[in-house]
Amino acid sequence: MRFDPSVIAETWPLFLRGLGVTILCCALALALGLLLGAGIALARLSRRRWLRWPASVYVEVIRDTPFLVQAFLIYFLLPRYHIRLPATTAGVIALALYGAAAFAESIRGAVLSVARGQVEAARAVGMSHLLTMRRIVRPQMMSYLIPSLTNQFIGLVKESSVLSIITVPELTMASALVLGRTFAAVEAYTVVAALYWGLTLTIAVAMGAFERGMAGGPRPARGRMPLLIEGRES
Amino acid sequence: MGRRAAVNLELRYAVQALPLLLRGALVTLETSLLAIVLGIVVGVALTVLRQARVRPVEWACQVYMSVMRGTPLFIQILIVYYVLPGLGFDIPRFAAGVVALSLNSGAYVTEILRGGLSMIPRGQVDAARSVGMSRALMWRHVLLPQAIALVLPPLTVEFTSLLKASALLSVIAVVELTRTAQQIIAATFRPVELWLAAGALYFVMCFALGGAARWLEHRAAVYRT
Amino acid sequence: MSPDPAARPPILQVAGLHKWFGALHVLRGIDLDVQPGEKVCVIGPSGSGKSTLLRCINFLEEPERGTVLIDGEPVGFVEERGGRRRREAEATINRRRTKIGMVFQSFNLWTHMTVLQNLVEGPVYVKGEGRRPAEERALALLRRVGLLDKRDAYPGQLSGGQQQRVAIARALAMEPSVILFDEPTSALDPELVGEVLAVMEDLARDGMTMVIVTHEMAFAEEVADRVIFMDQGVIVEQQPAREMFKAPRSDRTAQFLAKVLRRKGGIG
Repeated sequence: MRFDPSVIAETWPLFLRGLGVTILCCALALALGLLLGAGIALARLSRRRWLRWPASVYVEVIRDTPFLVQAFLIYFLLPRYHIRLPATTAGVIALALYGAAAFAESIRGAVLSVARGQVEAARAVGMSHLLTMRRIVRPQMMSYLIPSLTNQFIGLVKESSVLSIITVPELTMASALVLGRTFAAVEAYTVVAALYWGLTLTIAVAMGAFERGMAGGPRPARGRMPLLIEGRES
Repeated sequence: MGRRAAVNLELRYAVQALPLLLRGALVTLETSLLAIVLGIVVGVALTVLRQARVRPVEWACQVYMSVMRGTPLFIQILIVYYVLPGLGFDIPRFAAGVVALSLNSGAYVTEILRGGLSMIPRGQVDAARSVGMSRALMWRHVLLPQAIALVLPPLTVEFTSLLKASALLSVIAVVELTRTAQQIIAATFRPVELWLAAGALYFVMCFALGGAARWLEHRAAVYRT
Repeated sequence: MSPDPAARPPILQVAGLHKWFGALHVLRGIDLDVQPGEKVCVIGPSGSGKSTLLRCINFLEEPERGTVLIDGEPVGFVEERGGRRRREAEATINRRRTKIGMVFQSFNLWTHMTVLQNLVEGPVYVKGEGRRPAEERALALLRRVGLLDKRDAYPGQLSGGQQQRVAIARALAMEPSVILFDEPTSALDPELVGEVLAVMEDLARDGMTMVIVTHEMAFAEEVADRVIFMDQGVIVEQQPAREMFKAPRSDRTAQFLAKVLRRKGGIG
């Protein structure tokens, strides 16, 4: 197996462009997904059934189906409503919807991870639900939330490679283009894998620094952790 | 007519496609089952290797895990499919897909195993040793049963992830559920109905497995005081 | 120093309280009046519903039947004509809770705040007091429980006994009408129990109305005006403390006391 660097020298603009699209799509999906995910998490934690149930159904459906199928569905569903959107837009929407479900789970898990006694003491002193969330839960949930979200962000970036299948011109598609042009599979995939690896490592490092920046004060009280180990991001 | 016919959903296409889709789902289950079994083999191997007090081996394992978990599974599948023949391995696409899934899964399984073992309370070992059990006996009667009960729930979750990931094998033309749906769409031009049907089948499988995982976790909780 | 029931209305009135957890009938019709300045100790085996009773009083648990009144105002449910109940607004429930202090078995100090911040949080953010007066009062309370030097410490840096004393100060900071104690010393190492009981005795001497669920029989005999024995969700009997321990009227009470007092070495 030979590795020919000249292939990269010829084709690096393709890789760069693909990387740019990937970063753009992921950034947009991340922002939209966080917003939507926060809302869904609150709905799932609400006492009102009419908020809880739709939110739970949404999360369950997104998390129990492959992202590829979701992407296909969004891609083909919108034209039925006579909405013609470019593939990239459909891709970002699908990715955002997928991310929202994942982020909602992280946020909900973080809120639930705060020990019950902390919340009970707050309610006993007469704090409203909102005040309790703001003064007691939010400060304590951060140390759980940030690692969990980091995992999900990385999962989002990896999942974005699926968008190439619905013709979004991102990084994985770039590898296909290079492959088509040069038949240099080893070179193409090494570069692309390295670029993705670099992306995920950057996210991990950045979030780690963010977490350290936020860590003032003592560790919060922990409730019982669930047995299911947090494995894959999906 | 006008606006109300805009959606135009015709579920009969989905219903008619059901038998074919179910056959595809069977292939999905096959690949995922093989992948988790091989993934456990890879995971066990990794766990054993990581125990070795040899720096380069530990380091290699860390790199392997980082790459497997830090790059898209899709790329990994394409690499196994396109690059391996160049190395002299000419394997059918089904096998290539399963290999890719297993190699990836192993990196997650090793963490599951490590986590499961760490959750057995220290006192169990102390009690076994103070009663005079040999290491082998202790493993067989005390540690392994508890370890298995503890890792079954997260392994079930991993299996569910593999089920969803197997959809990507459609790209290398393995005829599982997603590929089957694509074939039917090519014939009927009804993508929305078919993707809804395929999605529903995935959902049923994954949801059932999720319930199984929760039940297993509930049972394993008995082992924790 | 037993209060005269005819003189002032009861601070706390519990009527007909029933609570189910699923199929389990935990509280089977509890009636309880607590006079201002009275100290009531609730004893009984685990599962008798003692903690549930306390948690229903400040509406941390919602009773299926019955009502609770604090200073004459309903907590949680309002009794309506025809015997039905209406749930109060959240804001109202929260307001009532500020009148009812609670000290938990597991202290539940907010771990991301210092001791002083714990004391000041309720008065400032719930009652809307100014920070300065709240802090001054908090410091006075800390001095009273003997922990002024720990005002900038975090709960994680304190022993269990110290945390519980801070928790008592935190409850006092809200200036409640009554303080509920849910097994305040059960989670403490034996050598730390004394310092918490001392604070509680001090509180009792100053005239605070207290409802205490406890296993500390010597403390109950010393401090309580009235002792209530609960078993399987009902109040089996209630008597002035001295009589209860010397001559319990019910057999169940006698059996329970025999078991507990034998373990603790008996009361004089």
